[in-house]
Amino acid sequence: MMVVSSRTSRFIAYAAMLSAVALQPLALFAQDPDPLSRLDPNTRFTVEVIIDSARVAGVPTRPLTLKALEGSAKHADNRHIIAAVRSVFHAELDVRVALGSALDESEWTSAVSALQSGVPLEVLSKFRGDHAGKPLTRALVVMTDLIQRGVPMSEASSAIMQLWQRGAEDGDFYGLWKNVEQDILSGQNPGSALQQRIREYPGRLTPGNKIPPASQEPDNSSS
Amino acid sequence: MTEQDAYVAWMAREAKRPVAVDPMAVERVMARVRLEPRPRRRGAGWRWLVEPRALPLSPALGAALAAGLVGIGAFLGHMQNDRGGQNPAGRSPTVAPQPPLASHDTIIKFVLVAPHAATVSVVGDFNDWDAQATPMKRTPTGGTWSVAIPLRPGRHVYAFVVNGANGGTQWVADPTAPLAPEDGLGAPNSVVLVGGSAS
Repeated sequence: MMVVSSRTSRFIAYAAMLSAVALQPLALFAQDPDPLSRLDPNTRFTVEVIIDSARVAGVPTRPLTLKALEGSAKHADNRHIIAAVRSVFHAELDVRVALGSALDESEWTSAVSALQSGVPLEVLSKFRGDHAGKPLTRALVVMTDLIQRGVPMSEASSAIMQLWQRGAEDGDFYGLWKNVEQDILSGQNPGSALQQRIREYPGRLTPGNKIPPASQEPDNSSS
Repeated sequence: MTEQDAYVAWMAREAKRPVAVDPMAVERVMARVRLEPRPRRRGAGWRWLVEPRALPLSPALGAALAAGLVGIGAFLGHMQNDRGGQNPAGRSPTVAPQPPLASHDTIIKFVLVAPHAATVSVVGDFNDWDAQATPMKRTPTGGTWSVAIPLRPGRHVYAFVVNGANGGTQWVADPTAPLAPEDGLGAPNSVVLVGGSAS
């Protein structure tokens, strides 16, 4: 064994210290950055209080974080960001009342969207009894979209519930949505378009008796 | 006094006797030495590298060295992730960063026709609503913008951010996808469902 000169050891030690000082910020940055840091401190505080409340209540917190980030990305003012996050939180509490807690994240968020688009809690709760392990997401997404496109809420919720109770599958809901969307784009009244398309379901759906397929798949869902 | 004692006494006297030394003697010797060719020490550098030695480091310096190594590792890991991830660091204006593809992910292609746009990006819950994270690429032939990214199964909310040539920015919902409800944040969103029978 030999002992290096004190000059060499000091050089190595200083080099290590410099590396540590220079790379620590990068190391911190390499970790998952705190996404809520994009919010201003007051807004962040309020959002975190809401998130903590959600955690205590046992409803998902990620949709709340994402809503805050969406508001920040859209340069919404702080008041609107907090209102949007609070609205999602309250809707989650309502969803739990209507559908229970045994939902995946997509079902939570699609149910929240349905409530926010004006679907009453009692209508949403009708999906609970027939849930039976079948994913709700597609039905709720289509119902929400139809309402957004101008179909009266009562007609949209009634039609989707009807399909749901007849055992429609994801592809059936997608076919209905695509057909109604095309009818609306071609100038038809949204409510009439839905009523016309829903008549194509004479009875209980079976694998051989489905809504006619849409003419083309959406551009954004190729795999 | 024996003969040996006399010899010792003589040595002692001789040792104490001052000797007159030529002051230039040392210089002359060193000059001769410098003229001699220096023997080459082969492999000295290699020996310096491989010979074991003890580094007298204090605990504080040892901790600093460890922190430096951790920093280097984290930085390299970050760079590796960034090469195919949605990480905002090292953003490229032309190449869309892609998150690593998990076994259950599905590649989803987003397309928007925006012939007058300067840049277009897709932003949504899958990239934490970071408008810089997923830029789209213009097709060589026209004003169609597209990007393909892996998404986890489930419902995803997104929108397009279109930057015009005049510097204006507009959020646009996907005209080919279902709409999400208005939520008071000032711009519409679209919904894509990944997985299932109709995604």
